[in-house]
Amino acid sequence: MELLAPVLGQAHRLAFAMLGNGAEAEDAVQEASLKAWKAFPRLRQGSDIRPWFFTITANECRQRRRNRWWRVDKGGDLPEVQSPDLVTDAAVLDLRQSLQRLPIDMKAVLALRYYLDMTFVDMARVLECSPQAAKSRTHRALARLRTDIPEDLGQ
Amino acid sequence: MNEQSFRELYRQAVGEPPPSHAVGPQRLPAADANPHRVPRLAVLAAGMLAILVVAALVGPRAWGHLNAAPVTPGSVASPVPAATPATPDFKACKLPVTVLGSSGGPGQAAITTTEGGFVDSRTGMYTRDPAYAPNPGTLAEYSASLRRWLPASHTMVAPDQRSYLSKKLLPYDPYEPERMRAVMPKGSPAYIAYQEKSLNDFQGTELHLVDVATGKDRLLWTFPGFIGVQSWDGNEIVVEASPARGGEQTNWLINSATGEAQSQPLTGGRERLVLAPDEVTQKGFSYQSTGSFRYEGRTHMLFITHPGGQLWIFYQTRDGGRVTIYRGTGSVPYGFVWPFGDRTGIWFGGRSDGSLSLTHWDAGSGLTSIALSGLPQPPQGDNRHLEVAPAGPCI
Repeated sequence: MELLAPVLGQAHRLAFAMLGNGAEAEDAVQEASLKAWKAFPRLRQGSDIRPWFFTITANECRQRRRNRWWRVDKGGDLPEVQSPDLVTDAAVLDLRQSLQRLPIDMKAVLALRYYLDMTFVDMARVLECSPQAAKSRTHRALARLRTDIPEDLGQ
Repeated sequence: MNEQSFRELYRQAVGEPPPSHAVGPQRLPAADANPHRVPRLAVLAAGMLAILVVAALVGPRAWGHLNAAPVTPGSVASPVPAATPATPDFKACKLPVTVLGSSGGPGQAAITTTEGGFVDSRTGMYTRDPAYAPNPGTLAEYSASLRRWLPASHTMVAPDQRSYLSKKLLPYDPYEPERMRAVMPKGSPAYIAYQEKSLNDFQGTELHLVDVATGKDRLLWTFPGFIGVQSWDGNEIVVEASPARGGEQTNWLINSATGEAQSQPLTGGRERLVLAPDEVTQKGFSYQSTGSFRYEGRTHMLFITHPGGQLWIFYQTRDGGRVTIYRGTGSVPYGFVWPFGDRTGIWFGGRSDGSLSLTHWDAGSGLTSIALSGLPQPPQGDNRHLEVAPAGPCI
């Protein structure tokens, strides 16, 4: 399992960007680790562990968003809502609000591209699609944000 | 704004995650880890995810199509004339349920099974109903008055269960998952090209109302984007709508009789809890909304919070009041899933990684648990899981 250690930090960032909550992101990565641990025997020798584990993490985050009931299971450690009070920049606040309204899959795409600095080729491996499709999904997510951001977003 | 500028803005907006305790290998499970530590809902969600995966692959509009199958009048039992039955005794009635089975590891396509039937609340014995035939990717709800399964999920079914909603995508319904997967394997160039073209061509969604008894389909409303039905109380349907080409999400209130639609302010969602003054100021006060259900004529949201270390589960009434379902120090780790309100009270489902039982609540009797038996086995494979969800009023 030490194989996972180098990618756990980035997986946590991915989960945080998708879920918007540190405690929940931590939970998601833990569960993803557990799933990865159980699935390790099926990982082909020589496979790149990074996109494989990010796929599991992203799936875990989607799963949590899609089935709110998961969170009923949790004990007394309910996550607190992130406080936006520390940020006063209007553009940042606008973008934050827009991001909150994005579907979880679009959040994943933007996180991979702009939070984890992935190329479209690497994104495609996580998203299990073609690089062109990864690019299209990125542009589609940006298009959803565009009305909230006055200037054109770079392509 | 160039890409780098956006990246910087994005990072400010998202912020940095707090230090994680989960990123060290010491938190990873040992080889002999207790299997019950495995996420409680992992495989159910995998099962549901398998259903959702199709939607995830092709976009949210797929759900519209999945819910959109028309009634085939000849394929259902003859409707029973409308009647107002006496309120059944919740301890001696038959509860319609959907049973979801799943198996599969991460990175694998989950194997899922779905069937429906009835649970005898006296004994907890489940009996499969062969007439349960949901469309792929969706669940069915049993109409007590018409004595038949409706091919629509709960929020899409009218409160009187005599009609239901379906969505049709414009200009055409491109997503027919079962057929598509047969000819275009997931990830194949043909599949991706088809998916991309479909997304690019998407123009909007029609919302249709289908009369169960006659099968008559009536166009209710059209929106140039994606829509999701949030609730249906009386003749008020609340729809969340997102423009196809980006833009603000809006809420609409649609009259189910006339199709008249009114734009509604975004309220922050029915999921928002009306906080008491001391809760507003209480540092760290937190809660979760965990699901909606229709009860006593209105859609309510269920909430969970932990004041003073207690577990408190309640629903919020329209005027902001709270009705407690459970409050105490006990642990109810797997209860309170799949809420469904009927005239006897509120039913909750169960899960095989918790307690395979149904739970009933009403204000007079409180909580009653009914252990289940006679359930099918989940499909063979890793992470086998079974879930039972109430799917109609107890009859």
